[in-house]
Amino acid sequence: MGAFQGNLTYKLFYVQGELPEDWKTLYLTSIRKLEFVPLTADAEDEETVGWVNIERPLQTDFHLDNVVFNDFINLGFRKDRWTIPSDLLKAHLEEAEAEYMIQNEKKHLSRFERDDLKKRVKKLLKERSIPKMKVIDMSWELEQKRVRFWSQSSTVCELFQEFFEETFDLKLLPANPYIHGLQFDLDEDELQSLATVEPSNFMAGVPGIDY
Amino acid sequence: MDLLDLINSQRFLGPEFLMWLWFKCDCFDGLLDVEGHGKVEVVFDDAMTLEAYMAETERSDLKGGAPAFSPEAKTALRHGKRVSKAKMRIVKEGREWSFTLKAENLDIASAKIPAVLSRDDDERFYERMYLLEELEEILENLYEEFLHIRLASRWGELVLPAMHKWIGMDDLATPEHYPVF
Repeated sequence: MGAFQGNLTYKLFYVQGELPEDWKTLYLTSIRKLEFVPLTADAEDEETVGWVNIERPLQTDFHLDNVVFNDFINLGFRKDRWTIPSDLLKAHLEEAEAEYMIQNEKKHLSRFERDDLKKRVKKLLKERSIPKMKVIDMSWELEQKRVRFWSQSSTVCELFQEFFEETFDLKLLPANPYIHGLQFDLDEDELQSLATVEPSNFMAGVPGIDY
Repeated sequence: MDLLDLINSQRFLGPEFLMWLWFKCDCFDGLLDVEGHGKVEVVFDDAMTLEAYMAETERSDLKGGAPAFSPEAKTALRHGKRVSKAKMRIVKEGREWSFTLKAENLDIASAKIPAVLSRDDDERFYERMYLLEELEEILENLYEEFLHIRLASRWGELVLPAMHKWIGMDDLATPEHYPVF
């Protein structure tokens, strides 16, 4: 949430490169290719990411009307993850191991048997639960070459950056003091200095404090 | 140096920008000329965090009242701490934005924009983005002004000495404390 309503905490990215001529068709195809696909209990993936409709996070039916808003491309970045509490997994695994040893008249389990049991228990628990869902708005202002992403978590931002670059084949630069500086009208000397300038000493000449 | 190294090594410019902005706001009572926007009121609001440079565990969180005018904030500066986060307000032509500016990446958080009038979802979105853009532009123009000063010799010759004096002062600053270029 964020682009249409609610909290305005976001990370700004600058887009590098130009839009291809037939960007609408191309991007719609790329978005559909990387649309969100729900996790299943059978799959080994613990986490998955993909694009969803910005206003309807359960929908992946993309068309120009719900992706392109005048000069903006708006999408939801959905990340689902299985979160099975470790204590619950441990308890179920212990039960399953005990039962397996009785059934097979065994006193010890091999590593292979343990891993196999763990997989089966995890699958059973996954079938009884639903993954944790997180949907983060993304709004790309095409002419300004700016992307606003409604999260400031560095892990999520890195994941998003990689996913955006994979989808649109354009590079993203996260805003920070150095990258902001590169967007301005700085001359050659200033650009050189931007890369080499060192921190100021704000303490020099400041009188000491009397306690 | 590759881009990632440059990004990391030059992050100190964020806290230095906030320090300079605080100094300038103190000198001009928050009323600043912003390129392309005319007179804009920039206020350091009721929350500010100062951290020791290179020792982020030493932190002063000042909340309530007007921390930018408090003796505690000046003491923290005298101990070598720098602003890492500040809650701010910007007022332009009667419209007000409030937000937290995080110095390290110059990220905007918890922004409140002037009232959005549109009722239609899409129109509301365009209005919200327009208002965010306006805020970003004001902040970026201030940061650009800072960089033009910071990357020139006048920083070391005029601005930094004036800031040293300001950090050592207990009284409020006046326009005369801001160097003339």
